[in-house]
Amino acid sequence: MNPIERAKQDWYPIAIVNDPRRPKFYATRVLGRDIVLETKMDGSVSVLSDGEHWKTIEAYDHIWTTPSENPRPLFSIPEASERDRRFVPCGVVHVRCSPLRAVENFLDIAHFPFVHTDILGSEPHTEVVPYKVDIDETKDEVIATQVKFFQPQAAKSANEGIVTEYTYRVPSPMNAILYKTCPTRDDVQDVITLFVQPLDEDNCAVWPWMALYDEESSMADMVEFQQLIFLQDRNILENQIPKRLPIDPKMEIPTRADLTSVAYRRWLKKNGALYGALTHAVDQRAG
Amino acid sequence: MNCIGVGFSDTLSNARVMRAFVNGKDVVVWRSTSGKLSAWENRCPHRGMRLSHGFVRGESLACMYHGWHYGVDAKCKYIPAHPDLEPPETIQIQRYSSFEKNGIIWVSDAQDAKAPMIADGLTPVRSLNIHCSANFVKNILAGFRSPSPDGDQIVFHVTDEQEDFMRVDVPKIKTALYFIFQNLPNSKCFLHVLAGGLCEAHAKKTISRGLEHLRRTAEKQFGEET
Amino acid sequence: MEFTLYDYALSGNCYKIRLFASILGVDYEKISVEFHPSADHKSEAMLQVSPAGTLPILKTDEMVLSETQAMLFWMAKKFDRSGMWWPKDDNPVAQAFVLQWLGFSGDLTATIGQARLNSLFQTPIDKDKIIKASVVALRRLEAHLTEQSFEQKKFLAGVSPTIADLACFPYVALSGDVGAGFGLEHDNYPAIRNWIYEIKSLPGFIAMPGIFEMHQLKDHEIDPAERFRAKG
Repeated sequence: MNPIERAKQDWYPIAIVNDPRRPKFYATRVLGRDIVLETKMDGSVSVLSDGEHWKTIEAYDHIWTTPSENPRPLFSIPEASERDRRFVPCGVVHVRCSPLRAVENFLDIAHFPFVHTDILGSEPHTEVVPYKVDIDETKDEVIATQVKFFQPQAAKSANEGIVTEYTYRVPSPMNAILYKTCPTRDDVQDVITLFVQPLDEDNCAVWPWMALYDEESSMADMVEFQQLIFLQDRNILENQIPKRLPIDPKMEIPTRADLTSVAYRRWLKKNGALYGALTHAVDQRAG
Repeated sequence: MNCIGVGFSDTLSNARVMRAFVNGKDVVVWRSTSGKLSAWENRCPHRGMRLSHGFVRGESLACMYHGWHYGVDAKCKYIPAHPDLEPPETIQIQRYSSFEKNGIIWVSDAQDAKAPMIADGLTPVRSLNIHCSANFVKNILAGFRSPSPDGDQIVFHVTDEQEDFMRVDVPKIKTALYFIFQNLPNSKCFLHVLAGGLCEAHAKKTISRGLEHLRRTAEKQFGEET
Repeated sequence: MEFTLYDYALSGNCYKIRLFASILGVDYEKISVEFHPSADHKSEAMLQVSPAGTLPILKTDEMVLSETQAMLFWMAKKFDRSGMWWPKDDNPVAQAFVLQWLGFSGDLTATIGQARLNSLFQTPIDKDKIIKASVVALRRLEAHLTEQSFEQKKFLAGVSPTIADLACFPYVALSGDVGAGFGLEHDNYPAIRNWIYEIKSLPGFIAMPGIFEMHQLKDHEIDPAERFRAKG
């Protein structure tokens, strides 16, 4: 199956549910196709692309669409039904990079001391201790567990540095979910996600979302924290070459700290989920 | 194959990094803390991050993404995620040759490239970025006229030309100007302009403003023709 | 707490005040306002605080300010005894130069600032026009900084930094956020590139997302790359 056919089978986020600032006709792109999201007076929505209607659903505070008549079901996030959590859609940010690069960056921790300095990591606490990565065969997802890192300010609610433990879950090629130690409670985990809308193979929009147990911070503070983290990553994402994610292991050099990204790249290849990937060693400058 | 002038020596201080384009290639040019100059492919082999956003520590250039440190021999020396791991020799960056002469930083992707023969004792004046090709600018240089602050005109007379280099006499300011051309992607270029001999602030200002006039003229014509 | 700042972490204008406060060592109360996605700075509640409907807003018991140039001026007068950040009254020429480049900072917000918002959040703009105007603004700054360097002056209004430098710095430093290929990258402007290094080296400098930290300035006992030398 060619990459575009595989990509068409998934759902993609394109808007926040009930966003009062969204115009009646909102134009965007998915998988290289121009689409228009129409919001009717009663709040219902429809998506039109080149005369064709695309299916839409609402999930996790976002509107999702797909070009497929028979798409794969959207992945589930059980924590989304825990109503005592605070649900925070953080707003879209556009970034000129492959959607796969955006996901892979979300899964990486070795960059914390350098990119999210004094927030998610700081020198000299740069070591990445071994962690576990598996493929959940039933759900066909990449899972990384026991990922530990010392963080000066792990979340808006954190008052001091702690060793945070993370679990990463990649439930579909362009979405990633992070479960992390909640700074204020040790019986639950905070959930942070990155939903990625692929405009083209080298251009995407990210829709970060959170389901948290933070009772103290204002909504503005929580949104701002997540946006701040993503904007720091954006500076990296727009400066990686080649733009598309190299799947050929010879093109980039991983270390043991990169187990999740290695597993992610291999899993993408196995699934033919190569929209946004570079599958053969080309002159990287052309990427 | 010629060397490409990418900027003036005195605009790249110790422990600083800049980006340059050399024959269409994206190059990181940097100085270690002790002043050693290096020019490499502008890409960290770990996850492809541009090294020109990196930072210098001691004699190493570190990548901004994961902090991988590279020594002046372009080999990886330190990987912060694995502080006790001695990085394998194979992790290294492709190097270009670079050297400094006549107050200019020269970079080449060929082994034995030489800088053009230009005079000694020059004073760097301005590196000007122009939105048209170097060849287009060269064609405009000959006989170019610009108003001088005293209401007169300064006139350019081309007196020497080599690949990527022109010497221009400017009788009004009693000095020669040396133009080093550097092609950039998308039909743009850099002009690195030096003056012959000493050149005090007032003269530099006149030259700098004359160059801006040159740029306006070149870009207007280029815009009309394309 | 010397003042209250209504702030947004991703705003270059808000960053001017956060940066100056850090350099001056001044404590303030920060209230986050959600600029995106909900545009709370234009909510009825915020318009009661400041009818301008913009960020940042600086508030004390005596005043509410909505223009960053005014905020920087007030902070310099109130907290800086040295007369460096805003020249003393016996030097009106120096003050005029600072005002000139403070005024120019408004051009940068209106051009590069707008291009950046469009690049991040797809706010509607006349992109070609704004990009061209951004290049014109950067070239003007490059020409001025180059001419300053002819007289060994590293900053906009002289040999020392002033509030004009802080006002112009954010959107210039963030011009890369607009994206590649528009002519706004710093590698096109060597004088600007060096000026950015100078500002980032000032004591008390803090970064914001889009502006890389100066990791090179952190103290390290050994160059970590040297740790394997003995084995070699």
